Amino acid sequence: MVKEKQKKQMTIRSKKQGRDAIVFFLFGRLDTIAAPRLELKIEPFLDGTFDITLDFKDLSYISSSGLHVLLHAYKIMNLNKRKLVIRNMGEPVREVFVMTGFISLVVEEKC
Amino acid sequence: MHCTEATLTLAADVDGLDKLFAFIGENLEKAGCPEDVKSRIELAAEEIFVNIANYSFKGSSGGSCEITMTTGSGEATIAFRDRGIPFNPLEHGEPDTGIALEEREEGGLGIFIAKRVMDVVEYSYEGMNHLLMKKRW
Repeated sequence: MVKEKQKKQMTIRSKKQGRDAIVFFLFGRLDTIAAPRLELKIEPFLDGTFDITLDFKDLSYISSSGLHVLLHAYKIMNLNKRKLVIRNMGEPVREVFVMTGFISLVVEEKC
Repeated sequence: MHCTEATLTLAADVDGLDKLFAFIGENLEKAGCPEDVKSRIELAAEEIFVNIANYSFKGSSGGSCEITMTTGSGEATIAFRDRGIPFNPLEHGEPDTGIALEEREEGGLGIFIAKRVMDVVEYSYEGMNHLLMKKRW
């Protein structure tokens, strides 16, 4: 019998910076269950009026579902000539970005 | 250390993902698997399971997936079996990770990741889909 050890669900916090920039802070694991939640959160800010920063400091895991959400956002942001920046990427997440080539998409900000 | 085998049966639905993580995590911890390797195995397992949930029982519900995990000294083997549509995910095109992301097709990425993080990923069909993956540490 498997003990139900509940993984903490990913949480997302956001902070607007001025009129045209927003930062999303991701906590936990961006898996297939969490990916649609991130998509819903960032969708309203993909209209070309915002630059978006994703802070991955407390993100410990990402799967292809999460990468697909980022790719979708990146394509739209690119068309709208807006910036999508990722900062504070930890090692396990970076490994997935590197192996898939997604690292080339990432405009990284160190802080 | 002798081998330990454990089996979990889940509905072929992504909602079962947390149960899958709990099952795999628990068995890997017992086997003394390091945290970074555990994270990679969980990643591969998620990609395979989500693929089964999305494609094996297309158009019908009620399908299930049986996951058998064998752990021994410094090694884990995970087998996924389902009675869905015969489908070899390993035969499908790998994403071209060398081309610009804007031009990339979405899809195929999950299986690509699973192959990258595991030492072995094999598919066979023997009356059911059988996906086997192995990792040493």
